[in-house]
Amino acid sequence: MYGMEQINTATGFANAKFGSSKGQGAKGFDEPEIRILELSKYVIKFELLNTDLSVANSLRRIIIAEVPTMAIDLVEVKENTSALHDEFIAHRLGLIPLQSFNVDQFNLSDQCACSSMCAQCSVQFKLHAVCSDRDQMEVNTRHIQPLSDAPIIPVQYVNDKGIEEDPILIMKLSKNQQLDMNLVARKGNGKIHAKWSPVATCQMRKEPIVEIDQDKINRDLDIEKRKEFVALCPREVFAFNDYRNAVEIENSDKCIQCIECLRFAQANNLERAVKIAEREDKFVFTVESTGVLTPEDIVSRALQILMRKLYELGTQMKKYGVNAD
Amino acid sequence: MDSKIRNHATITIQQEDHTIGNIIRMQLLKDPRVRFSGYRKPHPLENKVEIKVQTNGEINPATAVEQVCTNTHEHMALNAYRMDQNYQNQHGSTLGRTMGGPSSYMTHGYSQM
Repeated sequence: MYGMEQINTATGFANAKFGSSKGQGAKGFDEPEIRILELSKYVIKFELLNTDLSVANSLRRIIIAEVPTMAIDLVEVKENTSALHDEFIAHRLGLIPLQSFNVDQFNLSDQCACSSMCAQCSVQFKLHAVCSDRDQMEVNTRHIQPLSDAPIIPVQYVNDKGIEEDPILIMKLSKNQQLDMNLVARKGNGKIHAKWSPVATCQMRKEPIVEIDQDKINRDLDIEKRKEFVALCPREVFAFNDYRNAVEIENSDKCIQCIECLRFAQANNLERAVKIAEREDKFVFTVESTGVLTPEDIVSRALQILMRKLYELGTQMKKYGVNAD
Repeated sequence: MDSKIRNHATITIQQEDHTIGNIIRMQLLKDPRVRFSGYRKPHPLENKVEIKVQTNGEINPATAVEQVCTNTHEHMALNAYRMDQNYQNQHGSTLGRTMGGPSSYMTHGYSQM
């Protein structure tokens, strides 16, 4: 268990001798680079360089939709005398994130050799809650009892200081209401249902380029207008330097390309003083995991899945290429 | 697959979507021997993509797609290798996959998924 770790890496990669022909322009790729900017328990921020937009987008799609995890998929209701109906509770149970570090050991249920359920494709739980002594009782993920030794259990969140947070609330029971269910968790990916998606968000953006012609701005605008210029940016990209009464770029990375500054410049006849653009070759990803897998694991698996798809397609095309000649 | 035009192929890939279609199309366009490349998803509810390729005759369209797949695969292998290296430099432990050069990423771990 570890707390927040902010690791900034300038250069962390060796030059791999990967084969001299791969750097050719004809193949469409320079040597790719991937740098991890930040890594914490639930969030990873990394950047991709010298990669095409389609590759970055496919990586994003796979991170969201094709990395497999475990989630509750079948709910057998033996007793439900609560205020919520069966399928409502079942829907909520499905959305509970389950720790899926061992998900590779499981088969997809429709590809498993067993007839209906076995230890290779499913994990069983029991949820039994009775409100006997109080007026109201909370049923949370701690009431879900695993019936096997597999380490697939509901995620227990730990905040920055290392303290365990409250468990996820499933529902509340009133006096003399009971809940008795058998739960079965199966493997799946986000394409089938969003409950199997391992990420809360996966954000991909291009790094913004913000350039201002400082001489023009500081010469042609009076001090009040300069302050107005700095103030109208919604993300505080600019800063006003009081010593020199000048506008400076404080943090161009925060820019969201709303071009308010550009419009202001145009309104004040300073057309070419501000330039907002995006770097076409650099993508910054922020992946926030729900806790089912570690964030670096999610990215690593996404890369593997993309590689496998390309490999399989390439192998299939090889057969056609040979036959056609 | 080849229609009336020479060096032209239409490839239908089942159980795939824009994730793979867009990559193949974009990378084909970068190859100077490919004259035409495009992809589409015929219907959003049907899980397949169609890729059309036409080459200038130097290579077979199927071979063009195969080369593109191999190159992109190696590109991603390099990415995965770099990522593991990064992680190891920062954390002193691997991501659970064997290191040992980018070539080990080419076919590693496919049986698991």
